[in-house]
Amino acid sequence: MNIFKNRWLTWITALVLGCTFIYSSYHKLADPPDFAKVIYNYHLFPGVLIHLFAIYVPWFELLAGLAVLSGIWRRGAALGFGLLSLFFICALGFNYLRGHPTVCGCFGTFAAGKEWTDELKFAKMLREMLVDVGLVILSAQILYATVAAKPAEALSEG
Amino acid sequence: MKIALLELVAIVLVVLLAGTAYNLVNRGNPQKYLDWVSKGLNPGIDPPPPRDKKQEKETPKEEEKVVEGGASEPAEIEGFPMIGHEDVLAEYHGGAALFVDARRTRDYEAGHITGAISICSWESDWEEKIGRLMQSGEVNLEAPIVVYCVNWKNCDDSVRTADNLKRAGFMNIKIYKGGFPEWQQKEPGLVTQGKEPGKKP
Repeated sequence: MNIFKNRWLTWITALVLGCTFIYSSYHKLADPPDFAKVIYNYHLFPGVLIHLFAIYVPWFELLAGLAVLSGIWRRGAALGFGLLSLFFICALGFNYLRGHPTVCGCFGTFAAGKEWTDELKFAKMLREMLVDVGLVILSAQILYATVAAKPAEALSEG
Repeated sequence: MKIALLELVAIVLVVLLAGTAYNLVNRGNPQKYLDWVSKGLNPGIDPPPPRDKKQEKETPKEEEKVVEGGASEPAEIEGFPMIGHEDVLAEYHGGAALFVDARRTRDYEAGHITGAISICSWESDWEEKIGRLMQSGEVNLEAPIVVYCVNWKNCDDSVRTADNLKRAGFMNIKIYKGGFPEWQQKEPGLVTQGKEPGKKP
């Protein structure tokens, strides 16, 4: 028996992944301008796209999180989460390599008012990249378990 | 995999609907609503230089002063002169300078420099606020303006607001290096809470 296709493992993975992204969407939906500021600070995206990212990415996190948890469109949600996490790894990694301290903004509001040194920001970037690698692995497990499943198994997984 | 892609497209379509509806519902609330196309934002691909960069081995440039720990503090940021507390205080008591709080409105309401107005470039009503300021006739385009947020190392809000004021035609804009935390610490009697700017002494 292939443990990576284990139904219970997939449920636990879906629970962790779904809850993580729903939690991640909460502060962004509560304060879209704050998330726009986070995206701006990456210095990677054209000005005209910043608000569009800030409007739609949190909704993707929320709805895909619900999809992963409920089992409806779980494969699509897992694929989306994998791609989104890869995107953040690349963005953070690029900024880390070029020496631009960036607040990820993945799981909390922008650090307005906090006196963060660049050294601390770089340490946080590394930690957040590691978290994102973990999220890619979780997404891959769900995809592997559900995409490789036979039609009947896939149905029972939702 | 094809099914996963189709499901992803379906999720994206629902996301487009939900995001659009949510932003439209927030239309009357500048603290939540975002213009569809961001105005006045041009981050560029080149980030600003790291602000904590140690310059122990390098000779500091003339316009930079060395502070404790070997880090240098530039005299300007993105073309705007930065001034310290003493100069800010002189501008404040001089009476002619307009103080602009570039932080979020909720932070402004929690406490701001007495007499300062709020213009946060991340909120959708910043253009309207600058328009009102220009129409009010309280300040002319040459008048000194001091913009502040938290402090220059941890807050780009001042630079964004200064940039927007500059594009509106204001010519004499300075940035308060220490920002509101320094002011609150050194001039606790000149802090006002609430939506109104308050009256300068």
